[in-house]
Amino acid sequence: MAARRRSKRKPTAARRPRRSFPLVSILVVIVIVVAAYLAYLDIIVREQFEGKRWALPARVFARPMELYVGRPLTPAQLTQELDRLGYHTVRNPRRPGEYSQSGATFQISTRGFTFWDGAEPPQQLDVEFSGGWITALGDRAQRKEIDLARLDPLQIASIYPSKQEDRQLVKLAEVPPLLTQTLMAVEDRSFYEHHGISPRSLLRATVANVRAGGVVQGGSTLTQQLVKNFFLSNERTLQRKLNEAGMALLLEVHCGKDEILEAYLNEVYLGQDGSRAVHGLGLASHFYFERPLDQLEPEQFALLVGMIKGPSYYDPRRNPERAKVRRDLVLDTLVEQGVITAEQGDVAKAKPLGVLQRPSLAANAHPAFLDMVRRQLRSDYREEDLTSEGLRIFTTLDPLAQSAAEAAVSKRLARIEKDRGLKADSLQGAFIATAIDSGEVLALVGDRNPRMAGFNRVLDAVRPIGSLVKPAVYLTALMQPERYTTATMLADTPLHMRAGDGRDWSPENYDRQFRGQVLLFDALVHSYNVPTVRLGLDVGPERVVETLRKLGVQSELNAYPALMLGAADLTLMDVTRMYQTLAAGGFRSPLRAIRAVLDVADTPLQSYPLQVEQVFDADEVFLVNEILQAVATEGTAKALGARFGADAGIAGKTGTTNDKRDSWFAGFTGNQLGVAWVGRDDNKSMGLSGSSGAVPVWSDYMAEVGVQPLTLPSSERIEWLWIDRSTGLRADTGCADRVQLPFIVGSAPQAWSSCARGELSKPIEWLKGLIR
Amino acid sequence: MTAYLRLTVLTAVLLLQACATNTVSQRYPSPEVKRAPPSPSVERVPPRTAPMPSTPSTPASPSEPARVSDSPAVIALLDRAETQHQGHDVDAAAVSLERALRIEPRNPLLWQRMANLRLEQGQWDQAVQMAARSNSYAGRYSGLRARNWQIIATARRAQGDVQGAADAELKARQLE
Repeated sequence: MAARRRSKRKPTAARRPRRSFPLVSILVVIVIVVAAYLAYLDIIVREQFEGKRWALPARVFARPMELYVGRPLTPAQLTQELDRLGYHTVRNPRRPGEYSQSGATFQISTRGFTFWDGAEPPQQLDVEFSGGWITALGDRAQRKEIDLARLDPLQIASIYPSKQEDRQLVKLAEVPPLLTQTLMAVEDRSFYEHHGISPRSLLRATVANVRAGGVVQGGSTLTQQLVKNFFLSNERTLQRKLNEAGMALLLEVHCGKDEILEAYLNEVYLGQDGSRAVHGLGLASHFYFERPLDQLEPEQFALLVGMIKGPSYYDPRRNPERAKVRRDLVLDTLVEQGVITAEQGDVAKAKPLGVLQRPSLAANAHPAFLDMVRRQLRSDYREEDLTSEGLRIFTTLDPLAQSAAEAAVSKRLARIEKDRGLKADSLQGAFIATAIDSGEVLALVGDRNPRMAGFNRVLDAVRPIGSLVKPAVYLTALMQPERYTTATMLADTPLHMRAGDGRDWSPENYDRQFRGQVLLFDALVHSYNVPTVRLGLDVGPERVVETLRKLGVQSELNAYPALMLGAADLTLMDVTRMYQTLAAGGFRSPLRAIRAVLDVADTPLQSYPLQVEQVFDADEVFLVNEILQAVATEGTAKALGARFGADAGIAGKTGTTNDKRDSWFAGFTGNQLGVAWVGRDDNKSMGLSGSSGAVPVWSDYMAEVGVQPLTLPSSERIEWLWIDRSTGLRADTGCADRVQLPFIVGSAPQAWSSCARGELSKPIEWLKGLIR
Repeated sequence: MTAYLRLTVLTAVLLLQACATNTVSQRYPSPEVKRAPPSPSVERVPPRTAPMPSTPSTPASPSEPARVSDSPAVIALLDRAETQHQGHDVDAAAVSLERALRIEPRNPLLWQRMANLRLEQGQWDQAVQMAARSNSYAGRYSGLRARNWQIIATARRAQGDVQGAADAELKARQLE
């Protein structure tokens, strides 16, 4: 073969003159170079475009607000939620995302939303309030009552890769035709005719530019613009232009027009939200109008398309006049090209820009909570999936609770500093609120400046917890009803002992008094140290550690005597888990920040279902919780009883550490648990006890979200008896200082105190006699 | 003849149901339909410093709650869970129940329904735990508690805990 070829060539070479050789060679070389160059571009185009998946940040949502008759909610709270969601107030709400309020009556046109458990359609809601409740809920369009409705959830964050591009993908089929018509009218009239580059528009642009003596028109087709955005830098060189043209041609070979148009709609840059770049018309529609694309009006399409030329220059928030001129120019073009009629153009031009004043898609307004979400996600997802797969993450955050918590921490700390003459900004605070039965985290504040991302005092700060530990000591004791009851007398007398570190230790009470003998009930209500240490030593420090573990404490614990007074470095999460278990009657639930995760196609990837584990007998926890209720009416947190009334039934415990370095309060109502910490980052003394620092923060929060009264669930195993405070024996009206206490049936003292009168000495029999 | 009778009864029932639905839709938007907010169920606990000891005088207490719930929202969610359950979508049913529990976290019937779902899914441990949670809110409703103990017995037997199952069954019988 080779030989034959050679023999064929020879005559050719001989026939052709020598001088033509370089020309052919040059041509061949050029063809080869161009081909190689195109092949190279082709590889880039194919690899990047066909394999192209936009890095879609995960979007993080707050809980959706549920509306139903009987729900505790005020009109002010609903307004707050709607405003945060970017609903417009109008006289007659028709379009999704509009509402009206007249006194305690609302009309809301909801947006509809796809949740993890199905779609919530857009609805025309009538909502009525009375006395802090929703009293009526109806569908205006269908003129009927409805049982339950959900608003769309607030987006609270996006999780980005390092390049902070954000977008919400749209499909061409779902994009209103008017938008694409507007886009083509302005940017590329012959889009469906050309092959990637359009010599005619290039020529037109060149003529215009030469006439104007500068660049006034771009002759780039949509394909070229897309290629430029996708693959190329912004520099204006000939080489770049050539690359752009070559790639545009190649892209048209590989992809259909619709595919290119769809990519363009999702790629185009349309503005900036802090460090986040807003890409694509889907996200831009939300960013500027807080509406999906298919709910926009012609003038809104005109504004968005007009902005493509210079998103910052025509920013309707910063340069509204300039933006309006540009929009109206686009509307004129539409009329000129017959896309809309002249009347439609006039109507549209008469409309205001209609842009939301501030973008509602705050990039990350709640860094501390998001930190918790990310940590929970990290165990299930890779970092790159979080930042690129467009996951939708539905969290438990309640924006109403969160803003109440943020305000409670920052305002109260500032006030305490002012009232006590402390240096401004010397105090720090942290707060968490959870729903008791589900373990869902409703609010989380890790810094008095809640926007500050950084050290998360809820998740990472490790602090001694002071008297917050005490309920664990008392629960350990009350788990043995044959040995301890609420009426057991404890010695409150000087105590000297060897502490864990070998030094002598003589615990004292907060007021440095000794009371001789006190009721177990009173010792916890008033947080007496000495009887608590004695009780802890009596039941065994190891048993107390075991109780703390079962309650949910995960940090390291040492079974030293000083543990009974809170000498244990715990996180606020430890404390929260502990009190969550108490509040839930001995049932432990993992604290959850996430309800469900959906992929970009709305397929549920993961749900985090409710889980419970009974770790303590409900009746024994009941006894502890009853005492904790008394803390808030007659004990160290009695300010709460005064503020919310004894009927609120608030249960909780204060904690103060050595030299008043940490101020704690953990307390719960009928539906929520809140844990508050106040202290200094440098761990210096600040002079605040649990009652004077953390209790007011907790109290401000609960006042804002509303206290649901707490009635502890009782059982047949619980009986109530009157007890003489000084002896711990049974009492009746003859006893001056008596208290009614709960007991596990059969464990109460049988003997009567000497103060008891004979005729009333058996109240049960006496009552039975009455009934007979 | 019997078949005919059955058909008549069935038609009557269907008609009645239809009427019931009609009534509901006709009531809107007349003002009397506004339901009062369900009063939070209050269990009497003697106040700690009351002058006289008082024992709640309860006549023969009912063994079951009078209603599943006073909240139309909870009832709607229970219905939805039931439909999802019948469509063999147990996970979706659990999600609906959890939504109902967010509204009424202390409703022992909701916890019991959850326990039943977990039992069906073979999540024996969670079935036991949910039933126990239901018990903790069941107060004096002995029928309800008996059923919880039955759930616990079934789950324990499935876990191979023969003695535990027998104990739970005994508790159920004592309550029935």
